[in-house]
Amino acid sequence: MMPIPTVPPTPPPAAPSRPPEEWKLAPRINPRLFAVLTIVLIVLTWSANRHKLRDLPILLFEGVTETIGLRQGSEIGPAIRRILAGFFPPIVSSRTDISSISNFDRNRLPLGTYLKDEPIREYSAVDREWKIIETRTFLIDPIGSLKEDLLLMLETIEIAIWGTLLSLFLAMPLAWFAARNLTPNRYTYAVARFLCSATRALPAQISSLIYAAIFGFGVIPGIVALGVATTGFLGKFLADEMENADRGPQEALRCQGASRIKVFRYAILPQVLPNYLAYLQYTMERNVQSASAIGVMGGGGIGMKIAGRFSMFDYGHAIASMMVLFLTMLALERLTQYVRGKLIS
Amino acid sequence: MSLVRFSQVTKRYESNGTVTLATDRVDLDVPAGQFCVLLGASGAGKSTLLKMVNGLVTPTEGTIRFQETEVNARTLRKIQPQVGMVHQSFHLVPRLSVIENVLSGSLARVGALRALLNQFPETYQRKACQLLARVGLSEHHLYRRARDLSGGQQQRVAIARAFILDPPLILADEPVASLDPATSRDVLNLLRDAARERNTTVVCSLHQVEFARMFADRIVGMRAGRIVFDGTPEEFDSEAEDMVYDSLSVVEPDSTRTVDIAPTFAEAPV
Repeated sequence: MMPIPTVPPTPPPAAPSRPPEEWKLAPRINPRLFAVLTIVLIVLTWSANRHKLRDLPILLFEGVTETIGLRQGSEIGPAIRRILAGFFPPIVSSRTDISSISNFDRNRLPLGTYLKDEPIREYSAVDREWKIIETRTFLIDPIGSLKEDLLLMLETIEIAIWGTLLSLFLAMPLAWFAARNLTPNRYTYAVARFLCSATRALPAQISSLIYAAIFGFGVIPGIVALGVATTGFLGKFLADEMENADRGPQEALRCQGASRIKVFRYAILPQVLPNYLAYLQYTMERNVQSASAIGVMGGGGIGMKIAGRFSMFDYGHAIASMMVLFLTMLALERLTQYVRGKLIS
Repeated sequence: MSLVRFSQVTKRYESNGTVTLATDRVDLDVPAGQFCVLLGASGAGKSTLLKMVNGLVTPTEGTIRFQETEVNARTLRKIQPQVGMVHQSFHLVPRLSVIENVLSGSLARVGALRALLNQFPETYQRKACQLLARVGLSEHHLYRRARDLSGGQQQRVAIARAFILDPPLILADEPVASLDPATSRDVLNLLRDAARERNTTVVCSLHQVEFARMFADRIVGMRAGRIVFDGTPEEFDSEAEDMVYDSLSVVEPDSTRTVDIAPTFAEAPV
């Protein structure tokens, strides 16, 4: 073959050029950033004044100094002392009136429990003194409340696990449609992205009220509320992960004829799996917290007990339950971290 | 008989109001069985030309025929499994094992359910092993992760992946650009020999003149989106080299740079 006659390449269009001394540099202070920061500062100042936030450190200082005996006359000092006094010691025992236990058999007490007679007093306005009106027998379980706490904690974790599974089940298809490189067309993309935002707009603690009205109080509304609320969160992150996955391998499989779902299985999923697991771990942890908070709204679990004890000024039991929640969260974080490490390697 | 025929193929990129001609009315015939090297500097349009054969890039004007079938959105599904591709930066899936990477080249011919469950047919698994042995890897590489291999080994895996469906055509887009010279020679040798054994046509873009002289059956020199030389390695003399790499009129990189455009909904095959 002979070299073919060549066409001289077209000269590139002349770019407008000027000497380097005159090249335009970005301004040292970005005026837009400056304006935004100023506005943020103004809004924060307005809000702080509105709520008298500057009193907060003063209140705290006065309360603490009064509590440790350095001064007198604080607005919050008595409350701090009352709470502290109530918290210690934490109470893990339970005390039940045997008359409220059906089929109670005095001779066959549950393991570790004992009976205690306690007089019931009543103030007599006539005699102006306290009088014993009757004696009742109580079944005392030294760790009864703790056992209850652990069971409620388990229930809370169960709510969180099912909520996470439900959200994963809903988020996987949602993420497919919300990922720019996988969604069939721009309309499915827009709808999926809207669903991601809409489902996470209402926090689970609030939406559980609606589900409780539908399903009745208990575990189910908590699960549904958690599942829906974290779907948007999980879906958005999974979709972003899929969009950001390295395009090279996807291109390589696609150009040899692999369909979209196969490209997903072989070029996207392996790349995003570690981060999927990280998000799942985070969702799980967050859901245990949310599930405890849902309990406060009447959704069962340990939150319900804490809220109930607190409103009855039973701080000893409340702090014990809070400690169970606190320690469980710490342990759970360790556990999920360990499991994820095992799964990734 | 020509395997691939480009007629008057033009690809225009437009970004921020500047129009870039990646390829400019290119006519090219590649007959079956040839090891055809597209030679040129960065931005000469080699990659764009290659990627238009299997639909990674859609031409603005002109037609491309593969085995007398015009390449377009409808025919792409049938054409893609018949065209293997080796990429500049390997494009292996880093977290998958070596054998999974090779097998992923056969996905077009594996049922969806089997593919999803990672149950590749025995025949493809055996084929993958043979190909891996052919490219110089051994049994203990099979279940290593692709990212744990060296660059040269990764490109060998990529070559095995390109060959797994026995395609009549392999496109190699700067297959040795990220490898050192000695490894580059090995990899190109391997690519050429494996292609010869199977009577596979290879269209390979390169920017190194010495490799083109060493391996090509035919050299097609490109510059600024046009073909400026077409001949055998013997005919590619210093005069021809000047035509391809003329240092006096340096090609302004911005005016011919191929913009790497992410695949859009329109370009993605269904």
